[in-house]
Amino acid sequence: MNCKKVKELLMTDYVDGEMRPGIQHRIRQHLAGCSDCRGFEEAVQKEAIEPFRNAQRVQAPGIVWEGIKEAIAAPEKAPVFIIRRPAFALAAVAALIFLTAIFARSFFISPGQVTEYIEEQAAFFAYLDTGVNSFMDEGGGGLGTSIEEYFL
Amino acid sequence: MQDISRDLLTQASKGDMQAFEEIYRLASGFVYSVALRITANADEAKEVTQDVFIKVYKKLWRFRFQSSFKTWVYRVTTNTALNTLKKISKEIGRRADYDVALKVKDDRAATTQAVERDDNKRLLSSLLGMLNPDQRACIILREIEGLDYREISKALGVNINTVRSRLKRAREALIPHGKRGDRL
Repeated sequence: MNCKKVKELLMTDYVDGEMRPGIQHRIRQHLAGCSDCRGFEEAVQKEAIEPFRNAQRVQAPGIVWEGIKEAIAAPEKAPVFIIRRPAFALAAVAALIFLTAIFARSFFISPGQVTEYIEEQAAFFAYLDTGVNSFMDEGGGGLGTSIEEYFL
Repeated sequence: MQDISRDLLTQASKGDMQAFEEIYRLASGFVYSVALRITANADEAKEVTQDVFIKVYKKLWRFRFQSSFKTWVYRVTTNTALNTLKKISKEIGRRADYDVALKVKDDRAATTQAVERDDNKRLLSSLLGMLNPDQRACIILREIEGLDYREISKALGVNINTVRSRLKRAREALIPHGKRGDRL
C-alpha cells in the first residue's frame, strides 16, 4: 500500500473506525515504517479530529418551543389558487392571443371575402385532385390567391 | 440523539401535545445544535428548529416506522438547515462569524492562538467556516454528533462514497498539510 492511499484512508475510514481489521492492520504496519505518514496521521488527529472532540451540544432556547406551540395552534391559511407552473401560464397566454386573432379576423373580413377565399381554396384542391401541375406554374409560380396577394 | 419509543411517537401522531413535547425535549438538542453549526447563526438556528418540529408534527401521522425516526429527523434537520444556509449564503460574507472564519482561513496562526487561548467555541466556528456547506454538514454529523458513514449517508441522501469524499476534502482543508499544497 503506497503513501498516497494510506494518507487517503488516514483522513477517512481509519480515523472514523469504518475500516475492516485486515486493512487497519496493514495501515499500522505501514505507519510503523513510514515517518512521513506517521507525521500526517498526527496532523490529522491534531488539526481535524481533536478540535471537535470537546464540542458540546447546545440546547435550544425556551422561546423555540413557545414558537412551535403557537404555530401548531394557529389555524392553517386557506390555499390560494395560483398557476404555479410557467408552462400553464404560457399556454393560457398563447390561447388568448390565438382566440383574439381569430375573433379579429372574422370581425374585420366581410362574408363576401370569406366566400371568395373558400372558393379559391376549393378550386386549388380540385386542381391538385386532377393531378394537373400547371396550376403551380401560373403567374410565375404563385398560387394567385387573395391570401398570397395580401402577403406579397 | 436519544432513542424515542414507538409508543411516544404513536401518541404524538394522534395529537397528544404532551407526547410531542417529550419528543421535542429528547430531540431538540440535536436539531438545534446541528442547525446552529450549519448556519452559524443563532436566529437562523431557532427558525430551523421551529420549522423542523412543525414538519415533524404535521407529518408524524404518516410515519410508518419503516425507517428509524432518528434517521428521519437527521434528514429533515440537515435538509432544512442546508436550505436555510443556501438562502442566506449571499449575506454570509457580511456576517461577523464568517469574517472571523475567513480571516482564520488566511492566517492559520490565528487558529493556533485560538487553541492556545482555549477558545474552543470560537475555534470550532472558525474551522467550520472553512468548509463548504456539504462538507460542514458531514463533519458536524460525524465529529460532533457521532453518526457513522451509513447514518450520515441516509441523513444527507447521498451514498457512502460521497460521505467519504466530503469528509476527506473537509479534513484536507482543516489540516495544514492540505493548505501547503500537499493534497492527495
